Amino acid sequence: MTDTMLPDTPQTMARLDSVSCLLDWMRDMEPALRRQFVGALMECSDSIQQAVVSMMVIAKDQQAAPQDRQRALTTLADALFLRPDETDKDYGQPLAESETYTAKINPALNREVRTMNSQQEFFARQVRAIMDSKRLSQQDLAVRMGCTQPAISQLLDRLPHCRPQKRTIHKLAEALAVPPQELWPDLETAEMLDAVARFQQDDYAMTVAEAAALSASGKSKVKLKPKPLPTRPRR
Amino acid sequence: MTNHPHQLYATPLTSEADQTRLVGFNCGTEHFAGHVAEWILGSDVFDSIKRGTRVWIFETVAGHVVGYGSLGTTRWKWPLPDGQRTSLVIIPMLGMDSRYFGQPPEPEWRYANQMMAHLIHEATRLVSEWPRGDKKYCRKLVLFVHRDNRRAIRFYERCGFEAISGSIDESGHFKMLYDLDDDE
Amino acid sequence: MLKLQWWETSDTSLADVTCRRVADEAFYVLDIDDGYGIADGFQVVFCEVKRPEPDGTICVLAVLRSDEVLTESVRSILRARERIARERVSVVLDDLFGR
Repeated sequence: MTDTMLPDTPQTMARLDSVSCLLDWMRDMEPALRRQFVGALMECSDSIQQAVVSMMVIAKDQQAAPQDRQRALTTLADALFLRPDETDKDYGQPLAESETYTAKINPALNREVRTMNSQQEFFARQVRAIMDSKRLSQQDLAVRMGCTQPAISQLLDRLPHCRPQKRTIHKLAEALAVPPQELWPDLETAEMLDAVARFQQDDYAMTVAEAAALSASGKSKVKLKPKPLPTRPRR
Repeated sequence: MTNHPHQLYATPLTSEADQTRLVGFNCGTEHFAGHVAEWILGSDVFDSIKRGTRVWIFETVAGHVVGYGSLGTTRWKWPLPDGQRTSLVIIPMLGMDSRYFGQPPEPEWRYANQMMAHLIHEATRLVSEWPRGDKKYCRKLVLFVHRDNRRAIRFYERCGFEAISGSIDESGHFKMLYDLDDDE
Repeated sequence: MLKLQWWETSDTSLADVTCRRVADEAFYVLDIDDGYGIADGFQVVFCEVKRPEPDGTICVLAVLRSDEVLTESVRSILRARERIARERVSVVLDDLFGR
């Protein structure tokens, strides 16, 4: 291959820069580490290899912000050296671990995490119990949910360990022909708390009726008189 | 200050330590009651406090927690073509332990009335610093109630709140409004 | 993070938190006003992988300070993480001897 066979396009130049960067990295490594690096890179899919090389470019870029170079290095390390079949854990930090740590330092969240975990366990038991009582097979459920039987099998396996999204709860409830609250009792509570949070948000766009009510005067109504409460005397 | 046995006291809630006093707080078993207790027992109350909401625990002289109340402000936008913002006062949440519903028997000392009178007083104090006649400040107090919570709706109406027609949302809540202008 | 359970693709707010899709990208950002004494606020960047549930799995890709701009470098890093997350979730799913 000669230089004249390479198209002179921005994509080619970018690819050559990446390859050059990759070679620079490898040249700077100790041989044992280089072998490990190349081995890990070769085991990755093409898509991940491209991601790795793009992270190398950022990590070596002196113009990039230091925190971005660090992030790129972290991402590169994750891509090459953390694989689900090499450790006891899945890739990334599981939600349960993240919540457990946060709940330890925040008592209000601790209570919520415990509630969610117990709801999660209840949800998993309920789905199986309802399937049994209605004599629904995984295939039956798959057809009702518009997915494959293996997807349902994996969903059921993961149920005790994962937090389902709201739409999954609704979809399962519809497929099982039960109200969503029968699967996740606190669903309505969660939705109402969301409504209260939205009520407090700024920049709500009033309806015409709300604007009229705000503009009107209510002087004729009988009203409760304002009266402050004292603070409780110390004992 | 009176020493009447049914006098309620308002204690500000500002931290998780205050929250421990509400262990066992329960607003009833209806489907619209769960979130009223959950709001004060979980982290939503602190999210609200971070927005500037003030929260009080209402208790008897013996320290029995009867209920809680909250007061904050928000800004709404007038409908187009105006679109300008106006501030108004809101009661994000208000709850009473179901053991104290309808208590005490003496109407002039009814706990719910004492709690609401306190919130209206605080709201009136807040808007006293707002300029009159300025569209950027709306001297109204607004709260949010579930359409099935008939007990609460009747109580708010007796206090002087009026429902805003057509304000019901997808969660089944609608808004009620109290005019603060007369009370100054 | 607890609120993310209730997120749907079309949501522009999640309870009292605004949620937006990053233009020309496949990930989303939750804007958290509370900085917990560390920062003025945070941006939680996440994507949805359409497996293993019938509807998908949410993967948090990064937590940035609210004043951080999504420069091309940052977007490139997030795209890489998104690609890695999608592939890793699929590996767990496809592993016949896994969970």
